[in-house]
Amino acid sequence: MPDIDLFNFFRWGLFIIASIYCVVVTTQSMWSWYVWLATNDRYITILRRYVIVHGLRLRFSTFWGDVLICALLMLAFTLMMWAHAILRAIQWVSA
Amino acid sequence: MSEAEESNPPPQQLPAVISARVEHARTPSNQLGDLPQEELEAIAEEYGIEPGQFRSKAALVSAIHERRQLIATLARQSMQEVLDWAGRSLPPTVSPEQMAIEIAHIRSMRFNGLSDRGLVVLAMMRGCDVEGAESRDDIISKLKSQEGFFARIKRKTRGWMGKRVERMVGDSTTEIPAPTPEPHNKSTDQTAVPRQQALREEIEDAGFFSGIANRVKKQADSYVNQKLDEIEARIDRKLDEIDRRLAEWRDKEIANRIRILKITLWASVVVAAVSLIYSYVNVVRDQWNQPKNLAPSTTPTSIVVPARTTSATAAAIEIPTSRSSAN
Repeated sequence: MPDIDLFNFFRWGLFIIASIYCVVVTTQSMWSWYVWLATNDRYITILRRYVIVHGLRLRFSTFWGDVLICALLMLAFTLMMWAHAILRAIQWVSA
Repeated sequence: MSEAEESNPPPQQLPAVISARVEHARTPSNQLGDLPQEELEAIAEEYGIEPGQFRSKAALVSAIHERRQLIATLARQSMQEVLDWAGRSLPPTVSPEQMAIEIAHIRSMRFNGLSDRGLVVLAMMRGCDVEGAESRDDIISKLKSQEGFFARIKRKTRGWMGKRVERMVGDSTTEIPAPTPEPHNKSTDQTAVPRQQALREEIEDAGFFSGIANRVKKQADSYVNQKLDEIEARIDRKLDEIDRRLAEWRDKEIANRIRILKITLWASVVVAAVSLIYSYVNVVRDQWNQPKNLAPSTTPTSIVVPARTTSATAAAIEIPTSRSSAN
């Protein structure tokens, strides 16, 4: 009978499902926006420029704190993944 | 040249009335000659020509033709000054001929506020013999002498009536300061507002009923324009408001998205930390349990580091070798 660690199983299952879901949904959304905004219609062209203008007028100062926290959290997450890799190597060697 | 000199050129100089020299045709247009007498008279009146002065049809055609050629030589800016002085507003794209027709309908004999070159244009359009080098007083006296005796009486009568009507009705334009006796020779721009005529002047120029009708029409136009401006301003305000709200919504939406991302990252980091602790506990437990099951070894165990393991990972792996040597 295979020795399955339930916690690891849950962790890997969640990682795979959440990653695939996130990638698919984001790609779908981005692609639909791209197709809609790439139309050569006159009003869509105006809208495209309007979106670009709004992008340029974005006030970064209103949410720069959250962006910094996100960057630090991503760094922490990467470090933890690295620590996981080390532990996994130790486990593999000791086994 | 100073601004004062620009605005008031010396009277000896020829005001910039003539825009280009146009050769007068020796023979009148054949097309005008083909028109019936009634139409010719109507055209002549439009151009400010008195058709009764010309006995023959050919003479009338010739007069209309000469007037057209005269109009073609007049400078547009000078005509615009006359129109501004008379309080008549025309679209900026209107042709010089239409401007001249409008000038021909101006009957006012109050020349205060009219520039020198405007006065010359007006005199030319009223058929005075003006070369452009005359003084202002000379041109005004020519204009007055050109007006007939009965026309003057009628104008004075209308002026008197206009004065009475103005006293009865009241006129907001009388509150505006009267035009200065000095003419203005400054160049008129397209956004300049025409001078508003007093009710008395309008009645004097156009008669009792026409003057009042013109005033009512102007008031209605003014009211409609004011309302249109208000509507335009309201639309502009609304558009600004929509733009402002959209910008607020955009910033709020992006901030919300980033907050959601932050919460997701926090959750991921917490789960990763729990997972790391769990993995560490597993490793420690394995290390703790392994020596009990294995026989003690005298020789150190050689460890083959897997190819996937990096040097940093290999450096971190010290437990098996140290454990075997310790045991």
